[in-house]
Amino acid sequence: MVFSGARSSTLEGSLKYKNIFGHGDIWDSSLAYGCDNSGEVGLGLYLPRLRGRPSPFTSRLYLSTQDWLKFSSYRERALGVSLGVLLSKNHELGYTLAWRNLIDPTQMASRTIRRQIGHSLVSDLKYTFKVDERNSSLRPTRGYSFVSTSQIGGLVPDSRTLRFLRQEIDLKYAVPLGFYRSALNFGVSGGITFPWGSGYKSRASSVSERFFLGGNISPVCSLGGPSALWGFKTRGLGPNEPRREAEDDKSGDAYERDFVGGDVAVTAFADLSFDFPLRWFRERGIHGHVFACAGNMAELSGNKYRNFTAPKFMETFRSSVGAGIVLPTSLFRMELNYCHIVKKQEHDRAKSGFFLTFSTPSS
Amino acid sequence: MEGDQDTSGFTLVTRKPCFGLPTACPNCLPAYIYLKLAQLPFQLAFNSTFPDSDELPYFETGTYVAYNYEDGGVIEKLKKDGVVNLDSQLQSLPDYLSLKALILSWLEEALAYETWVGTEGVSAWKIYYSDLPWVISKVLFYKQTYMAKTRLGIIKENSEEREKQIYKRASDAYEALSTRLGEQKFLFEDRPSSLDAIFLSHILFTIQVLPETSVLRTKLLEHGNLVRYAEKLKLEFLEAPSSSSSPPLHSFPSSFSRKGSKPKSKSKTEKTEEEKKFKKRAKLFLAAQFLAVVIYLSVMGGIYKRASDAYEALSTRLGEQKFLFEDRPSSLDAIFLSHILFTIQVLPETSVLRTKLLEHGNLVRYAEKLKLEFLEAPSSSSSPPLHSFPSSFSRKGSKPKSKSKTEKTEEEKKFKKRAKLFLAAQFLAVVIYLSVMGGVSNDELEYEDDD
Repeated sequence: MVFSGARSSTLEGSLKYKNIFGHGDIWDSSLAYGCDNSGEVGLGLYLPRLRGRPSPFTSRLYLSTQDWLKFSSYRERALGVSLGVLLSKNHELGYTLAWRNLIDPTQMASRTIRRQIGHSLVSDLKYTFKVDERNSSLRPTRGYSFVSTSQIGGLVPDSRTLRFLRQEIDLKYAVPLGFYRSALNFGVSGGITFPWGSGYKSRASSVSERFFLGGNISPVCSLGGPSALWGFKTRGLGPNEPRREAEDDKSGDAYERDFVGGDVAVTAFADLSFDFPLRWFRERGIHGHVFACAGNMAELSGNKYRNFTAPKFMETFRSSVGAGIVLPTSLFRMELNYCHIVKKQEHDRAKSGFFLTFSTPSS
Repeated sequence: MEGDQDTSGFTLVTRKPCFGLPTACPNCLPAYIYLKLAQLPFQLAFNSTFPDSDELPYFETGTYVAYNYEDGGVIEKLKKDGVVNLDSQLQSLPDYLSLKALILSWLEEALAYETWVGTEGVSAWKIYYSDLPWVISKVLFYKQTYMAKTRLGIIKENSEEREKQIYKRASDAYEALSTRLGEQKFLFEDRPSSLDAIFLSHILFTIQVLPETSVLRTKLLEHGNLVRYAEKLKLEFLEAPSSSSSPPLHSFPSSFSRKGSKPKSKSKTEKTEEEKKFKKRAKLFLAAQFLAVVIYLSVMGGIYKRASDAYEALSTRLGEQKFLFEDRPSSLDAIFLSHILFTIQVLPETSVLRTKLLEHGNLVRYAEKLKLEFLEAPSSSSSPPLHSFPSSFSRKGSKPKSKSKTEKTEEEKKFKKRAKLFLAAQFLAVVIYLSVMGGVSNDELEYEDDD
C-alpha cells in the first residue's frame, strides 16, 4: 500500500494472531490514524514458512481513507489487496490491486483536482532496492543508506486501468566528526512519475501518484523518496491552483488554493547533530542539531513538460535553515526546531517559527 | 510551472460522446444543448470515470463552477448566476412552468425507467461504464440500477403496474406537448428556451440512444411533429459549424426518418379528429399543470420550500374564488381542502407546515367556507361532525383578513413571484386530478364534453 507523500505523524495499532491454520501463518489486523485525518483498516497474512521452507510472501487486504480536503480538496478511498515478496535482504517486490475512488465532498476543488475525481483501478508492480548501512535510523552518525523504488502501473490487458511509471531515489550519508558524538548527515532525494499508454503526453498523471512535499517528519529519518522539508507544512509547496470561488464566506477555510502535487520532485538536506555538554542530556540521547534543506517540484504531465525548464526549476527552489533539539525515544524521534524560511514561493504554506516533528524509523 | 492556469473561456464537462451525440448522458445533454441554443462558445471536456456522480455535468470558467447538483441543475444555476438566461421573459408565461414540470417530471421519469429498467441498461452500460475497468463497471452498474429502481419506486410486487403508469404518463405528456408545439419552431414563440434544450435532449436521447425495441421510443415516434421539431433544431444548432470542439453528430437513422414522414400525412387527415380531441386534451392539460407542481418542486427544492412555493402558487391561483376551477367543485377542491383541514386540525401548532399554510389567509378562508357549507351542513353522510376550527385557528384566520388588507400593496408587489409559482402549482393538479381520473373511461369524458 503506497500512501501519498508528505505524510504527517500516524498512530497505528495492530493485533496479531499466530498459527491459526497450523502452517506458522501470522495474521494481523491493523488500524491506523494519521494527524492528517487519514485512516486505514487492514488485514494481513504473512507466511514465514511454506512447506518447510522459508517463504518470503506477505499479503494484505486493506480499506483505507486518506483525507486531503484541507490541502488538496479531495478524499481518497481505496479497497485493495497487496502481495509482497521479499526476494532477499535488499530486494523486495510487491504487487497491488486496488479500487481507488477520489471524491470531493466540499465541491470546492480546483480545476486539476476536479478533472481527477472518479474511480480508477490500480494494478501496479513495485520493486524496491534498499540498503541501510547506517548505525542508527533515529540518530545516524555513521554509514549510508540508499533506496530505489520503481513502480509500473497498468500491468493488465485492460487499458482502462491506471497506467503510470514512477521512480524514487533516496540517498543519505552520515559522516562522524569526532567530537561530542557529532555527525554530519546529508541526503538527496528525487522522484519522477509519468503516465504511459496512448496519449500519455497530454494525459495528466493521477494525483495519488504525484509527489507532495512538506509535513512534520524529519528528513533525517524518512527513507524512500522526496517528502519532508523542514518548515513547510503538509503539502505546503509546489504547483497550486485556486479553488472554486465560494458563494459566501461562511466556510471559514483559510486556504483558498489546492496543492496539486508535482510529477518531479527533488529535495536535499544537511544536518549537523551534536551532543550537549551536559551529561544529563547525553545519557538520555537528547542532542542538538542545525540543519538546512531545499526542495522543489514541478508538473510535467498534461503537456506541462513544455513549460518546464531547468533554469526556472532552479530559480524556484525553496529552502530553509534552522536549529533544534532532538529527543529520541525507542519508538520515535521528536524534534523541537526553530526554522527560518530562506526562500519560498507565492502561496507556499511555510513560515519561520518553532515546529515539532515526529518521525519513526520507517517514515 | 506553478500558479494559475489559463482558465479563460467556458468549459462544459460532461460524460463522453456516444451514439452519435456529443454527450450521450441524459443529464449532460440538456446543458450542452442549452449552451448551443444560447450560442455561447464553449469547450467540451469529458469525465468518464465517475458514472455515479450527480455533479456532472458542470460548467466552469475561471474559478466559477456550476455543478449539476446545485440550484436545480446546471441550467438553473447558469440562469440564476446570470451567465446565460434564455428564459428571462418566458418565466411569467402561463405555460412555462407547467411545461417545464411536465418535461422534468413525467418525461424524465420515463427516460430514467427506460434507460435502467426497460431496456435492461443496454445503453446505460455504454454511456457510463465503457471507460471503466470491468470489475468497477459491474459493481457500479448494479448499484446504479438498484438506485434507479428505488428512485422510481419499483419493487417486485408493483413492477408491472409502475411500468404501465410510467409509459401512460409519458404517452400523455407526448400528446400534450405535441398539441402544444404544433408545427412551431420552438415551444415558446419564436425564441429558444431552456425547455427546448431539455425537451430536445429527451427526444434525441430517446431516438438515438435507446434501442429500436424501446417502448418509449416507439411512443415518441408516433408524434411526427415532435420528430420534425427535433430534426430542425438539431440541424440548426447542433450540427452547424461552431467554435465548439464537439464531434459532428450522426444523421438520424433511416427508420427514424421514415417514421417521421408517416405522421405528416397522418396529421392532415386527422385534423378534424384533433379538433374534436382538443377540448378533452385542453382540460387534461390544465389539470396536468397542477400536478406538475408536486413533481417539479420535488426536483427543485427541499420539502418545506416546495410546500411554501405550492401554497403561494395555489393562493395566487385561488384568490378569493370559492372553488379552484370556476364556480364548480372538482376533485382538486376535495383533495386540497382535505390537505388544509388535515394540516390545520391534525398537525400540532409547532408544525412548520401548518405555520406556512396559515400565512395564506385566502386559503384558510377557502377551507372555512367549504367546510361550513359541505362538511358541517346537515347531510346524509354518516360522518361525525367535524370539530369547529380551534380558536387559535379562527384568530389566525381573522388575522390574515385584516393582515391581507394592509398587505394588499405588498401582495401586488409579490404578484409576479406568485404568478410564477402559480404555474408550478398547476402541475400539482395533474397528479391529483389524474390520480382521481385514472379510472375514468372515454365515454364518461365525452359525456363531460357534451356538457
